[in-house]
Amino acid sequence: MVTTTQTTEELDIFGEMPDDIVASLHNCYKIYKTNELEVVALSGISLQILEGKIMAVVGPSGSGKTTLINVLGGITKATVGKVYWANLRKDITRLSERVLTEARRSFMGFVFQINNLLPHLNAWQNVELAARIAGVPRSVRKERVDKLIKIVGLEERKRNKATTLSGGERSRVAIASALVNLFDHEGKGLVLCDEPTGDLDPETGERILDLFRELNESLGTSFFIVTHSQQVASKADVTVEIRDGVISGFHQTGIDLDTLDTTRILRLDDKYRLPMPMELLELAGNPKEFKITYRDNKFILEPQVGDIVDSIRVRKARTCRVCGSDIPAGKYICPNCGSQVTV
Amino acid sequence: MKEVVQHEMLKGSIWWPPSYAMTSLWNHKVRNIGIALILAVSVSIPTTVFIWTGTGTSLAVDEYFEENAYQINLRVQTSLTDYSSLVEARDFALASPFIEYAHVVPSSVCILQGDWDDWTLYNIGYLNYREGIKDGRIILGNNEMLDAFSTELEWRGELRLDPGEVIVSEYFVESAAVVHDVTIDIGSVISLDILRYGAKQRPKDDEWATPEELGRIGLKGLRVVGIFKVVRVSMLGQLFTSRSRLNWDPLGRPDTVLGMNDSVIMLQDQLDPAVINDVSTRGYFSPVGLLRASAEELKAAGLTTVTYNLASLKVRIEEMFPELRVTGLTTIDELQAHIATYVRSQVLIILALPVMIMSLMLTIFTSETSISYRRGEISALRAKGASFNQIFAAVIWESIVLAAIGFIVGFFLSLVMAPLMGASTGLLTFNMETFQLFLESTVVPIQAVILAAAISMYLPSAYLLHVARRIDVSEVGQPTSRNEYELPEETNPLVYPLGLLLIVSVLIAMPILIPPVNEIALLQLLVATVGLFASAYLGSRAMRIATSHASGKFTPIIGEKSLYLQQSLRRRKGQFIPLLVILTLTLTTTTMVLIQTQSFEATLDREMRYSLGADMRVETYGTPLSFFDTIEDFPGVVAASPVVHTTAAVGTEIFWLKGIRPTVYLNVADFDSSSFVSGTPQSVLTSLNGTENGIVISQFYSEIWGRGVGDQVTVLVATSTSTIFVDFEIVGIMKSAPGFGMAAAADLGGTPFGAYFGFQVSLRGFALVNLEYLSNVTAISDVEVYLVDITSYEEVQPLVEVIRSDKNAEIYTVENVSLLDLPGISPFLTGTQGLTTISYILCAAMGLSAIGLFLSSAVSERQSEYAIFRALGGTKKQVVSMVFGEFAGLILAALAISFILGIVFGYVMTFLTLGISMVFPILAETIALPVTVMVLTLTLEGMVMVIACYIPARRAGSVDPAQVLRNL
Repeated sequence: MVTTTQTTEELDIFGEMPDDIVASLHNCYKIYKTNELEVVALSGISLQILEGKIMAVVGPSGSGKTTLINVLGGITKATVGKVYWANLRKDITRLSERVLTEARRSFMGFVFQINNLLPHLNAWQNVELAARIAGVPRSVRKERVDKLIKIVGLEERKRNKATTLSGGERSRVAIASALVNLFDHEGKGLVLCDEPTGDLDPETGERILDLFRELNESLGTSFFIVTHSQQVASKADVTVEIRDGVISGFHQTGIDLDTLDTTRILRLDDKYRLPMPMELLELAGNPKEFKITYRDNKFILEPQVGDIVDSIRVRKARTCRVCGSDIPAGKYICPNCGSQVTV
Repeated sequence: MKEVVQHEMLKGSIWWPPSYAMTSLWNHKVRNIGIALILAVSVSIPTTVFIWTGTGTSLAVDEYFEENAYQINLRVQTSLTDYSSLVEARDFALASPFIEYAHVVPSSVCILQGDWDDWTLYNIGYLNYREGIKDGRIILGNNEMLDAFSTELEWRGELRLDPGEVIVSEYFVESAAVVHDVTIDIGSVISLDILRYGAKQRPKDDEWATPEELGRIGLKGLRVVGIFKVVRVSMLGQLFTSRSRLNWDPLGRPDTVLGMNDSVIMLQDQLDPAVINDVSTRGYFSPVGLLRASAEELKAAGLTTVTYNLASLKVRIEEMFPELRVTGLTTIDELQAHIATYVRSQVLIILALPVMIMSLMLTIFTSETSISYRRGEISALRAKGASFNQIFAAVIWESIVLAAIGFIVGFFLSLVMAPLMGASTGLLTFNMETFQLFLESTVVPIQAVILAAAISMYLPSAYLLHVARRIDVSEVGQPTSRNEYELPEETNPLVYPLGLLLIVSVLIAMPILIPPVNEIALLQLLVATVGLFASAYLGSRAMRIATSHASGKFTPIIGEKSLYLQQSLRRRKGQFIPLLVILTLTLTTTTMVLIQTQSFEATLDREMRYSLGADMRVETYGTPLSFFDTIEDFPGVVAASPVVHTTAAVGTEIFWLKGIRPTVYLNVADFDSSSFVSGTPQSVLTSLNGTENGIVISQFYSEIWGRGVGDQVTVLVATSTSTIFVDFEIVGIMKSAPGFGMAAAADLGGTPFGAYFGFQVSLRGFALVNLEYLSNVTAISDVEVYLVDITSYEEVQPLVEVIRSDKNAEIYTVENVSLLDLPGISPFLTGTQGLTTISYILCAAMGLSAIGLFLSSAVSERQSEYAIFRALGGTKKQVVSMVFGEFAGLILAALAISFILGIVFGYVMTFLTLGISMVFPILAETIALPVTVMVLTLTLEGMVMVIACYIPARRAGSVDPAQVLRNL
């Protein structure tokens, strides 16, 4: 008896990723189960964050922004899909908590609206804390923290306790803290920010965004910012719109969303699918079917209603590709040679 | 394929968790000190008991060694003259680790020499002083021996010898002065003739012999460095026995001479070994072997085996050397009883079990709250790259440090509390001298250290198993922990009071239905402890609902705040129940312990007075009845009731007949309502007085004989010469009687108070009859006991002095009858009193700190709520009064339920404490409500409550809504 063993070589889809990608999501779903209820927070999201770019994610409350940042940061595991980090060059969803934490330390920083500062430590110590946790030697640590404190402009306030700092200063401390371990890679990591300017006045928020840009330009650090704020979105290199767990807009440059009006820029995902912007669908009366036409170098997408469908359904007469006889409309077998009409 | 540049992983610092733990501990000082101190309470309780028993046992051993210079003595059987076995036995004993040193001490007769005629003949039994011969015993010892003697001697000068020096007894000095008119004092130089050969070499003891025949050795120039006298009857006196001899007048009074009191001590090494050998083998007196055991070695081998090790050494010597008489260890049984009582008293830990469990609960609860409160902080650390393991390790490190602090503090607390336990004389009263003694002699048994360490490891274990796991729920990016919405309780509110009522009823009924004696008492104590916790829980739940309802009822007074209070109390069961349970537990235990201590003391006091029978009890060894009249003539004596007794029997039941004068006895004795069953003391004793052959029998006999009042009973009565049958008419039935104890031995469930002093009548019990009638039929008129009613102890001093001068009588009064003087029982009593007092102090302290800890953390957790109040337009004052009202209401509820539960448990625990105690109460337990201390405690707790509620309330009022709400 002959047995055949089949070996399947696992496809390393990330091995061939371009070098300029810092992190990416591939067809990620996140479903929360609460008792009997299932909530789909992310529904097949795919995106790439490019090195040295600022990417903003905007969307209404409950659209899945925070889940997205958590899945990307490896804090929450995606139910389905793959998450890729450049430093590991592999799918992180299958990695253990320990490996993830270690990988995250040198690659990723977090900035939250609440800043996550420890009240009993001063600004300098708060920045230093992440490096201490990571086990960075004292001398290196000191140099880095001093440098970062200088970069974020807190030299005068570095001995002040976190509780005595203003909102803007706290944000600066949080940003410096997020960057302290990325220095190993000359700042080339990813900082994930969840509403970083949420509790700041517009002017202070603006200064923080300027700091992001400055750091981005000087250190090459990538930023992934989840926000409600149009102000933040306008400063980003790429702005992604998300609604009900689906990407509904993809704008390559920092743009003012209001100027788009009823136009959206979309990007095909890795399965060549195109998400539909929900608000535009609503405007169109939530059609279920569309007619898409490519003509004159343009795609024309028309909601499928009424007569249009009927006009498409008009049957036409054909010529047999075998014998050249005429095949009448509505017939699909050549009356002369019996050949079938194929698509 | 392109080259992949891997980023270097930052593995994380292994030093960060401990260093962060230290920072974190420092940053939450108050909370952590609170946790460590509460843990220290748990650690200290059992450790205290072990240190107390260890120290007490060690002190008992020390006391024994102090009272017994040498524990074992060896002497050669009188018929033998070979002393070599004495030396062998000494060497054998020295090989034992338990023997500190052993000596063979020879002694002989010495004669004082001086500027007077030399003696030519000597006879040890003759009137030597009259003949101008001052003889005495020469003891050839060494300095170790003197050191051991020091506890039994009183001396001037030195009790240490160098060559050429002697120490003489005071009697030797005095008699020398009389015989030779010579003054011997410290620094005097004397000469002595030592007689090497004693009368044993001769056919008769009392023969005359010349100096040559007696092997005289003359020693000159001996300097007297010390003069001593034996201060108490001791082993020294028995070893170097005196003889009674006429010294001056053949018809005069003999003197005791040639004993330790009439001796000269000099160093053995000063004489030639051949002389020592002669003195030993042929001297006047047999040499003695003195063995001093090493207290330190014996204690090191185990405090509980001290007496066993000593006794077995003695037995081994006896077996190995049958030719020797091995004596000593006469009071070893007392020491053993003392030690055994300490060991048995370890069971007292059970009394403090509620406090211990409570502090462990409080520790874990506070730690858990602390961790929940720090979820935001943990989340921040996770955001900064700390792994779960790192945070877990940091938290565990914190717990280890807290455990270490708890261990150290608890241990030092024990070092203070153990002496307090030993020095306790009542509720919050201590004997400072005993305290000092215990403190200076503290012994820490290894079990105490192990137990303390094991208990302190409870905290890290709890963290490991439970608390630290809570950090897992903290996610990166969480702001702070939010209080989850709790639904109002659906349970029928009647369930809790009914459950509480059931538990309380069971607990009250338990000691009544099943008498708590020995193991059953222990079991019941455990059940009561579980009941205490269950009651505190149910009581808290009931009071929470009751307070909520009450808030509704008080709407007209407290206005709009009632709505908040009502809803807050109904919904926050997760927050309030643990707080209420802890408060109720601490406050209940405080009240319980207070009542328990006071009731225990009051019951023992009542038992003591009842066993004495009257203000004063005079026990004689038979005085004529006529002495009775003399007693009543003394000042300060109101009346005296004499007691004449004899034995009697009905069938095989042998009992005492106690002859009393009923009317006097009625006035003098201190009766209890339970004393007589058939009537009041007045009616029964009047009836006895009116019936010449009347008898009051025990209820037990009444039941087994089937006889009641009015029935006749024929009793076989012992007279002064024989026995006769006497018919008595039963005039009363009794259960017990003051001064005599329980009327039937069968009713005794243990050793009553009086039995420790011989006041409890022995045999199968006793019956009361008329003294004159008993005296007439038996011809016995010697009075054994007088029960005396006195105005005051001071005024009756003349009688006391007269009785004391008569060695055949003993006086007992309330002042001098104390179980604390009995080594077999005092440790148990002081231990019980001390431990309950300590529990009271610890519990009160814990209750107060619980209020502080819980309320401040409750305010911290609910900051946002207060901020919303302020944002909605509430004034600072309104918030303060609302929070103060809520907390004060809660604490009042806890105080109210604790007061009731405390009384119930105090009552139950008193029964159970007496159940495990070594005193069986004849009378019903006296439940004492120490009103003053209770009021003081409640006032103190009330004051702290007001402060503890007001401070967090003020903090709640000063919450800045802008600050708090911006982060919501």
